[in-house]
Amino acid sequence: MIALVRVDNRLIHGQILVGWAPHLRAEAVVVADDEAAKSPLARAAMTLCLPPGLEASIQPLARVDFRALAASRCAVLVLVRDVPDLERAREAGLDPSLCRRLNLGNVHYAPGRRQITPSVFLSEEELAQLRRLASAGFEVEARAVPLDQPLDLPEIERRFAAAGG
Amino acid sequence: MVGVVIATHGRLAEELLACAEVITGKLPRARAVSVSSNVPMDEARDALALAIREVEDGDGVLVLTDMLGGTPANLALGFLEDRVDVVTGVNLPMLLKLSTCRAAHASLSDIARLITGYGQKNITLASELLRARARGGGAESP
Repeated sequence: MIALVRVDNRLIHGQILVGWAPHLRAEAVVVADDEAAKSPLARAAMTLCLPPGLEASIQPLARVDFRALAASRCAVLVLVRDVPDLERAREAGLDPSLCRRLNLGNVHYAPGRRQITPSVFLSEEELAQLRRLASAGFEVEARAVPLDQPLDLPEIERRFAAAGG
Repeated sequence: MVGVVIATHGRLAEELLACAEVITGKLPRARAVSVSSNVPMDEARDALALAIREVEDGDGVLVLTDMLGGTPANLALGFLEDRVDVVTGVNLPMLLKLSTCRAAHASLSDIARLITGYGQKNITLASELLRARARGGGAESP
């Protein structure tokens, strides 16, 4: 099963290894990222640190078989780099019946983005993408680590509006 | 002289370097790079690249990071094509050792191995060591 699909521009890092993977009892992390899949160094660096019992696979996003991951007996954590990749994942077959929850972990500041949480910044376009995903049946939340209080989409919208622009 | 860059989550790097320098005096060719959770990856990578350039004088650079698998270490491993070695699990004894061991003109790889071992050796269950000594009934003299 797919335990969570998370947007994290750091892909596999401390919050994943120490926070999410144990919290979700994940036995596999799938990094769905074209850039990482192309870089032998990034692949090596990210797999060097895996604790026993956690496997990682790094694949170009379009090649990820979400249906197969959902059918897997073990809990899988899927990581994508940014919000547009969530939509690409949907085009590649990710569906709310396979994993309802989409988590925003690290989406860092860039021009045009407004701050939602200390680690999540969104642009108008990204917010629109999240709305489309929510109306397709996904549950969107912003949460850096498991013990944080998750923010749902209405709260994300409220903060986006409050951050002005 | 082999350069030193400490790269960690939060402000740990700055504070570790400051603590070390209180004990040893100024560490030459050393920089601290903080990778805070809200800094974009590219910015953090640039800061690390700049720090490595600043301390490199031709002998290579040792990058000390806080944990294997963390973002600072992941970023540092991107510089392996330069003359860089990366050690994880940085602690204060490692920095103190670096204040003396670099003067001997040891190579980057020698220093990297030495510092890794030294850091590991300095993690002790000190209370157990003390109890073991006490059980020795004082017969064991230092």
